[in-house]
Amino acid sequence: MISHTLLTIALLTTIGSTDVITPDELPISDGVLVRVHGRCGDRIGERIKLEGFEGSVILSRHIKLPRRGRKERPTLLDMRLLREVDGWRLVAVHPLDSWKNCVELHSLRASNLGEERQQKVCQFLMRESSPTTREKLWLELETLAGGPRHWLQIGSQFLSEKQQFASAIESRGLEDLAVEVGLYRKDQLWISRSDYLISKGLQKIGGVTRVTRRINLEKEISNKIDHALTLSRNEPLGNTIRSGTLRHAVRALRGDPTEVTWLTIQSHFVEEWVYGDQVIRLINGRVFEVLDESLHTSR
Amino acid sequence: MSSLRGHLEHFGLQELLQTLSHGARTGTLQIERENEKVSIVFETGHITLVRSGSSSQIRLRSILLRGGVVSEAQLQQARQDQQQTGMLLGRALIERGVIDDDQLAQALRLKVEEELFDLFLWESGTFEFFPDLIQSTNEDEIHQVTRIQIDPMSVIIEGLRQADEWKVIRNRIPDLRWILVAVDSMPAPAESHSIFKLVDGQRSIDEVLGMATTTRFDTCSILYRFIEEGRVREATHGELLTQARNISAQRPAAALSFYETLIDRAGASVGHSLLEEAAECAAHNDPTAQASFIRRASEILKRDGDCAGAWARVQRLLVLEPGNVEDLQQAWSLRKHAPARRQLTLLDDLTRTLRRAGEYRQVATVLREAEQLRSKEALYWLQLGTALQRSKDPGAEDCLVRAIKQSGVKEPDVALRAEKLLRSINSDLAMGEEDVEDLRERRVSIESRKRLRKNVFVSAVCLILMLLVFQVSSEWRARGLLAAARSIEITTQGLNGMMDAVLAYERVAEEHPWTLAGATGSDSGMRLRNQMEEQRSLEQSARSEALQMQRELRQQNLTRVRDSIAEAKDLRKQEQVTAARNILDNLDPELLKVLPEIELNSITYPVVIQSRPVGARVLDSKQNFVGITPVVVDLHHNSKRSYLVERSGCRSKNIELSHLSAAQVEVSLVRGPLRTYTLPDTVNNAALAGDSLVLAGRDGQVRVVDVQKLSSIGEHVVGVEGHPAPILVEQKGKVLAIPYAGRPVLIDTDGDARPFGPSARAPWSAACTLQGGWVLADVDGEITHIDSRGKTRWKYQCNSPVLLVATTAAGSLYAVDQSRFQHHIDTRGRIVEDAIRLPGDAVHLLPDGRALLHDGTLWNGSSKQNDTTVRVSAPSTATRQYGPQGIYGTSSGWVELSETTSTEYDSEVAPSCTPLKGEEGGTTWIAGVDGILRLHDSAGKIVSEIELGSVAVDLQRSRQGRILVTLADGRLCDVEALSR
Repeated sequence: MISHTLLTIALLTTIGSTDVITPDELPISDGVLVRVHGRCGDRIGERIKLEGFEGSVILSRHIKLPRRGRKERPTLLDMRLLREVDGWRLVAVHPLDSWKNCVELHSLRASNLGEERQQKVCQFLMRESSPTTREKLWLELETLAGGPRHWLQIGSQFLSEKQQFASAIESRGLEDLAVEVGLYRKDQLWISRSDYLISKGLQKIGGVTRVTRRINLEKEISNKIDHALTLSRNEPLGNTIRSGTLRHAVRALRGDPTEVTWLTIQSHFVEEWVYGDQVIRLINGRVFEVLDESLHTSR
Repeated sequence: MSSLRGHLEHFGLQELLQTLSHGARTGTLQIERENEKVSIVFETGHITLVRSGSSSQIRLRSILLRGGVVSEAQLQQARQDQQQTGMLLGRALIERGVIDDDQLAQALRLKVEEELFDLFLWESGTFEFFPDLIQSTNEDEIHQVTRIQIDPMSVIIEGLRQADEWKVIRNRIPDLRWILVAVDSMPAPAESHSIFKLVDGQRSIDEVLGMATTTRFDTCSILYRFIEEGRVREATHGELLTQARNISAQRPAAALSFYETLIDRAGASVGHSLLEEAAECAAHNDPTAQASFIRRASEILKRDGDCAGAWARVQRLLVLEPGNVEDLQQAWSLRKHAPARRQLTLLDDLTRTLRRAGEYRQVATVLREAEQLRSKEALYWLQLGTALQRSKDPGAEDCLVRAIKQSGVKEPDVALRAEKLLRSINSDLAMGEEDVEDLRERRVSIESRKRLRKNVFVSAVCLILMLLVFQVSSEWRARGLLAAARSIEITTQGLNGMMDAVLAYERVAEEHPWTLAGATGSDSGMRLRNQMEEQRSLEQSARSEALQMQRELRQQNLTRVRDSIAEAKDLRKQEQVTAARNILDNLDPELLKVLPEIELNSITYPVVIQSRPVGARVLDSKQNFVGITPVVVDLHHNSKRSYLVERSGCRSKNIELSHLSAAQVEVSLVRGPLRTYTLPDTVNNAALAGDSLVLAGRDGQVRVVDVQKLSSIGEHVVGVEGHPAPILVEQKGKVLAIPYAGRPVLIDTDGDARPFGPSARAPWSAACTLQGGWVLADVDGEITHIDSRGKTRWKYQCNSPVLLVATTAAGSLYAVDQSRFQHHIDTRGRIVEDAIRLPGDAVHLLPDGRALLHDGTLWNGSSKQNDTTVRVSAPSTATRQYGPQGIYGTSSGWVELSETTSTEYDSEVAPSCTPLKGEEGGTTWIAGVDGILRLHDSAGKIVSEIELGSVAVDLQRSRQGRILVTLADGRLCDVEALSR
């Protein structure tokens, strides 16, 4: 531990100041010790996520990160990262005095960088900009982003469903390119793939897109299949839908459901019938659970 | 309890201090002189504290200031702290950090010493020692009194020295009110400059002592030295007077002090003018001194023979201090200079004051002196008699007798009082009972007369007051009514409003005639009445003018209407029905009212009766033949007529027409279905297999109906009740029913069914035919191809739930998933080309590979608006495929798609299900959302209509040419495909 700290200090003192980069550039950086402006995300054990960097970095023990509220955005930090065999290690951290200066610095940098790096810096600038100025900034980045494809890709990350984004695509005749980069047309607007999937009630898991309602049903019922079976064996009661009510009784009382999902768990046939205000779950043709739709959706 | 007490004259202070010091006493020594009191606290023979009242703190402040330890501002702040917290000054300064404990102790030591030195100057006074008593210990602790220790012996030596020197100084400076003036010819002293500067000819010695930074004794010593050296001198009379006059306005207290010095200095030779000047100055802050000065001035004036002047001063005195006996006596002595009336008042005041003081002898003396003034008054003699009686003078009897005599008949009261007093002195001189009784009666009589007069006076005053109150209240009420009338006049309009205002004004005048407001109300009422008259005449003339104009306008309208009717008649004769009707419709109904009733009833409104289909016979209510549609009928104003429209093979219809009916009335002679069969449950999907119609709903059943007999020939459980209806795919007379969950079922033309293909692993979402077999797709993205025997040939996996599958003309398969990717797969389940992203949600795939999107775009591989991409109306129904051609319904009609063209057709009503192509070339069946099935020709015109009674969900054509309509209410009906 002591030797490691000494090594770090030695490195810091010998190398001196390094060029500052953004977390988005980390995957393409070839430096050993880099200075990064960015924000920390969730901490998992000894590793911590960085906004804009897909992987995570190792957190040195002596590092004290600024505290923040649960709903508060993390502080913008000036970090030193050391390349190690198993990834980047965070060795020093200081809060940045001025967000404005930081953004200006990277804006200036972008004009002198290669295409790939420019794209990464643009991504950082878009992420750091405020939602109100983001559309304007995106238009300004058209020449810096490294071609229309990259420009659209950056826009798709931050400007899904924005009117100005759609107008820019239409006015430049970039509809085909927009489809190619993974944007989806929704009425007169363009939305990102993730937003599109959400709107269709779909969810991408492990590269495959599935119906969200089925996934949730499987997750919830797998663990309580025995309990569900027990409940379904209750005696049906008159004109009330409750545990034990048969399928045809439900249909007689509520009519046809607006949406139906089913799956087979341990050879038991599990269904979910959705009505406007209720979700009724059946196992082997008998009700075992009646949920309020609003609560069910929020879950 | 005290153990030692005595007088300072007998037992000096130095002896006291020596005794207590040598005896190492503990206790409190109190020394008092007139209104001064000093307490000295001893602790084992040492002085630890001296209390000398309020001057103690002043002295401490002075010591701190002259020692330069604190500034004036710091002292001010400490005083504020003192007021807020109640702590002592020294402690407040320590709390503020201005001084420390040592500095405070030093200052307190100096203060105690000075106070003790001052005590040595006391030549008289009493002392008392309270052993073992240290006063107000608790209070001291609360105030955190700082205690010091002083050896009394050191104080005694210095105190005695100062006492000796002080006597010498006071001999030279007997009065500290003196003003000292620097002698111009003498140079300034080499030392004690600060004190020399204070000698400015304006400040008194007392003020200089207060301002100097040295002790009082030292300051006085220095001043004494200056006087002895001739550097300063006492101010002259003139200088003092000038100074007093100069400062009397700003500093009256100081000026008064100067005046007192001047008066003291003048002694007996003081003039009245100086005294009056001093009195003026004292008027600002010392009324007692003012009175004293005026009194002295009066005495001087009287002494100098200026009695009038003295009388004037005494008058002021009587105002300043009323009831002062001396002043009253002085005034009485100067009465000759007063008017007689004032003399009487003065006499009354003086005698009353003396009587209160019990000085009856003096009262008698004064009254005797006033005999000339009041000797004719019985009351005078009574008062004199009373005073003499009280001072036991024998002359009282004569005076009382004289009082009785002079009282006469007018003052029986005085006579009775004198008689009563006389009786008490000497009963022999008293009046007889009869006389006394007579006096009493007289007194009663006078009193009753007085009372009567008083009562009359009071009644008169009350009456006047009541009248006044009544008048005032009446005036107030009248003003209120007047204000209301004015408000009516302002707010209301027109003659009626003015009339209301007039009535309101007149009411004021009527109810309160004797008031000012009443008079105003009367005037205003009159004025308004005149205005009303003027306005009424103006309105009358305007009305007659308007009437004339109205008549002229009516005549013009009549002419215009008659012209229009004549023109319409001409056009009708020329068979220009629409034009004629337009003219009549455009006539304003209000204008028509000007026509006489006969003329109005003679107007005829032409109406064209049309039928669909055309060529229907039109009969009137009496079954008279009118014509073949289209036919024109003429309807009179305000009349109703009914007509029968009939045509062979169609339903007859009765219509009722009036002049308000539209210019063209179209009658639809729709037919009904031939037969109807009611199904047990509603149907969502239908497919025709030979002469059997396969129907699927959401009850988990698939029903097979013989279309010739229109009766059920089979019912099979397919899927689960409540689930979406099974997908039905027909191929070679067989229908594959693919349920949402479970295993598909194959139904043949006989209505027999058998399970076919694999069971669902996830909800089936799409299906189509492929190479004699079927392709099934589910929401997990799996596409399965089963052959004609139901065996799985191959599987293909998409990344998203599959939305559509369709076979191409070339035999390959297209599939579209929910991520909008279109997959192209060959007959063996291999990818033909990479999946392509569609620009929108596909709703149908055409055999040529084009995709129909939800917005009506026919997409052929590019979203750009180029030649190969066509946009037509968005589909509102599913698409039916006839080989390479397709047809679907829209919100306003239907669209026919071919490989090269797309044609849009409009319909009256939006279709409720997929349109069906007719048997005859170019005809199309459209089931509208209004529940009517319409047959359109190739131009889109309706050639036949069939009333279904419910919304259709599916249309099929049987091999016999009948149209099989599945209705939303669960009925199935067939319709002849003949157009009429």
